Amino acid sequence: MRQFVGVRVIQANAMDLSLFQFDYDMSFAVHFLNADRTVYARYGSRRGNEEEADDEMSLEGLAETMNGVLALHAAYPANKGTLVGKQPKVDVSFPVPEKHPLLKKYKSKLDYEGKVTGSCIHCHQIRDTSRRALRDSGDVLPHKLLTPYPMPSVLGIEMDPKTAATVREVAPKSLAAKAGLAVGDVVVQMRSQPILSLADMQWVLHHTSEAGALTLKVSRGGAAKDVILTLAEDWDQVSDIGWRVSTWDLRRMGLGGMRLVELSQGERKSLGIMAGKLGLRAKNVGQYGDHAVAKKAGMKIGDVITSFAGLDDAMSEGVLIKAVLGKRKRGEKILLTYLRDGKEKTAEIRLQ
Amino acid sequence: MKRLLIVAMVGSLGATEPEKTRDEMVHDDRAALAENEAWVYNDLVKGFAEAEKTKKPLMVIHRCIP
Repeated sequence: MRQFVGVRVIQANAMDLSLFQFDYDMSFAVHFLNADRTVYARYGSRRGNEEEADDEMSLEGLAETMNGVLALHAAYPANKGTLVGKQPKVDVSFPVPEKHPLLKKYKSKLDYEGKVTGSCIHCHQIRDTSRRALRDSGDVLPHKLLTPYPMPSVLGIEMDPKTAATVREVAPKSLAAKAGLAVGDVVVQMRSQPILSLADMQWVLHHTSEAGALTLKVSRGGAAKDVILTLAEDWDQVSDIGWRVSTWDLRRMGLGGMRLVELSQGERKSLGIMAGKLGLRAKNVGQYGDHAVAKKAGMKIGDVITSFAGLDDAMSEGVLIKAVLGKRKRGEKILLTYLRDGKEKTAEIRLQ
Repeated sequence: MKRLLIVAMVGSLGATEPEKTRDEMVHDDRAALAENEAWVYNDLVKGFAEAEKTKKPLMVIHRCIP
């Protein structure tokens, strides 16, 4: 730690959005930088809540990342060219969150003399605001706003959290397996960027939208090797967004405020829902304000949705949200079909 | 030693006291860390200045009070 200048930031107020670009759904996120604002690495990943929230991080992994950063720093600025891809993208709409019209009630500093918690902008509000502004303007949501920072697991790669960037598992028949990635491989570079963490990998994947070749440079047994994955157009479609705090607002926009979960095989069988067909159970139904649209349409906890806006293929809640909000606009009415007490019913909700 | 420092850091960052309100926890967090020499608390201008002066890399942690 003494080899770093450690800065603790506890709110997103006054966050320079042209510098600090990361997965804003994180409750713990680290930027490693040079004093000239050059980003060396990012750290901090998550794909669940409660017990799962810290599964992707460890002190050992953070320490290994920090050692990697020190090596980059020692070689700087000679290695500046290799860090270009890690730098934040400059196309920000607002310099700091509180300059956005939807966040104008907030100030640049916390109100320690008053209700300090209420004066705080949370990081997830940055993406929430971007999405809300687009929806309110009548637009659909672009793919990258709906599917931010995919985990490499969508490619079949599980990383060891006790290390900086070592492969722990490769899913059989996955893109990574087909490309020849192996357990124990140390990911050194992706898209020409040095990789020092899972967050660094997610940064690369977040900025990878096109189909085609994705090259990982790995170290295997001390020898360098290229592993080339072939990405299809919709390679990140199954990226899970259900755990994200920002997904609650997407549920308001696209599901009338419901939270949906997939049925188990046993539930499907008992309800007579065929394999490959939609079966999502309402686990929560919003009760108040804009989150109560589905409730007002008659939906209740336990209802099983079998068709939503004309979509009836089997899919997760996250994939459904992306399909709806990526194609349908605010104000459109959509029809949904559901099962309750063995009977099929329909409801209509208006998208937000 | 490095690991102990990290544990102390993460421990203080993640500490929760169920009996307290969130406002109280925010105040306590500032009180606990503001005088801690190992950390620059909520002041990026100061952090960048220190990094420029010492030629050390910055480690900027974004962490809400739980």
